[in-house]
Amino acid sequence: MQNSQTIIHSPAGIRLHGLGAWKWMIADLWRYRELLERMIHRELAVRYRQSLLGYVWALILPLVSVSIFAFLAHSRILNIGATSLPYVLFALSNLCLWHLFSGILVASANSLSSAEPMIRRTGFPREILVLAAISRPIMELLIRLPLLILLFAGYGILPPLAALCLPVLLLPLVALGTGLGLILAATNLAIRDISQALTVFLSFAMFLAPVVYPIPVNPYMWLVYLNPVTPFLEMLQDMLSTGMIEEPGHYIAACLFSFSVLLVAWRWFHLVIHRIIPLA
Amino acid sequence: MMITVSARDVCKRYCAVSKRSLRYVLADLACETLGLKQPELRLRKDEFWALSHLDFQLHPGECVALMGGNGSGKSTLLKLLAGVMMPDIGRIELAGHAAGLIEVAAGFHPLLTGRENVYLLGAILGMRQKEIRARFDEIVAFSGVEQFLDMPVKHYSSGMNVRLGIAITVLSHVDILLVDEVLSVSDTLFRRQCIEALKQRANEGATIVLTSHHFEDINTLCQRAIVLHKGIKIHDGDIAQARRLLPTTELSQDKKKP
Repeated sequence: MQNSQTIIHSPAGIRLHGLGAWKWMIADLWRYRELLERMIHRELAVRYRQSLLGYVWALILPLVSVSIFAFLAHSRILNIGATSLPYVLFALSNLCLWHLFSGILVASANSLSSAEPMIRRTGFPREILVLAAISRPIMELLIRLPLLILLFAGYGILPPLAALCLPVLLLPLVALGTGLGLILAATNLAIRDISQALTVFLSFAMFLAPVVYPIPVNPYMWLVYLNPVTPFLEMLQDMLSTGMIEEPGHYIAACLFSFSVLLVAWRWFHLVIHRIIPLA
Repeated sequence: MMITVSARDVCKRYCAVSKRSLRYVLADLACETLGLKQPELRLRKDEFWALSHLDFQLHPGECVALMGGNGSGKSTLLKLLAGVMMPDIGRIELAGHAAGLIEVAAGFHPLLTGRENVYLLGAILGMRQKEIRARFDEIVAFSGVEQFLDMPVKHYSSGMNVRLGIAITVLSHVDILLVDEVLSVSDTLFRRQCIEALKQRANEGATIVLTSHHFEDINTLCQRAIVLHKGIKIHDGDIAQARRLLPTTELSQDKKKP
């Protein structure tokens, strides 16, 4: 026996662990880390096979939306207030962040339902499929990065050195997306309406966050804070213009919220997924 | 004697009506989420026991045939062993990793090449990439798809797909190997090759659980049979005796061998 570990399948087993549950879940994931690697490879590889433009599509989406909003702002059809950066840079950097978040939600919501034949027959930890799915929006962000840098250079603007911290500062946003994604993935496996509803909801939610417009002044300010992504957008603009987070309270609260969502969602996912799978 | 699989009082219920099963699942989810105690497990409307009060133990090196008519609970049991689902009552303990051929090509991605899919399916079966690399040539030779390794598997014939999937699984290091009907879809020669490989895996100490309609396969490979009928174990032991317990419709399948 090369694997001396005892594996137990029992309804009581998944509930018994209490706080140690996370340790157990992490150990489970660690055991399958090579599968995660393979799944990420699969996710990224199949994207460009049988596609002429492949990853170029990742650039087309933000470019088209930025052009539209830049035109609307420039022509004064939309009256957008003053932004700290030139509007094109402001909107494009925000859109990159927003598409990272919405991309994570969409990809993870469909991750389990699209792998239905596989999950009905094999028993690896299902989180792996969700985690592999979010590699794609992250990859897309990396592809958009050179475009963003090019545009900053075009405008002759050098963001402060502190902007190099952004990858770390965005981790909580990825955690938030993954947490919500785990919930969406599990529920979408049972009720397929979820991914449909998500698309509708996300197009609406984008305008509830200061993505293509700056944070409005009172009395409407509270509205944008309904969107948990707003503090990250604030932080992004601050980091790109001054290099200092002006409202650290907002950002810290958003971080705490994000990581709590991830921890609770992951645990919930573990508790319920085995009940949903027979439906798949 | 060492035990690799131990099933104790395993029950699994299913709902026959899909709309209602969705409602039941949502109710169960609510209970689970709120931490409510599940009510004493009873059958609700339109539910039935796919498996009920199943007890058995399997040992290293043992080959067990799982027999029974359609809907007797064989596939459900394999899925419980593989960890696809959880039993509603009771527990299953496994000393090692259980995985197998519950419809092989399920893990394949059509756009990936045969080579990439070998690594993917190997990882799904719980193998380390190193182990797969070490056995790669053996797997390819076994499957007989050498020339097509770098072609996307969507261009494979269904036979090639199955052969590659079987080759990976049979040659994997899985401790508890679950073999569903798949063997019956391949040709006689390849089937014999598989039986030989499975025999060798058993000699190395793996436990093999096999469901097949071919008594010939069962006879050459297994020493023991578990017969299920409507989710209840009605026999555990001698194969010849198990054969007599099965309805004649099952036997007729035996005659139309390729």
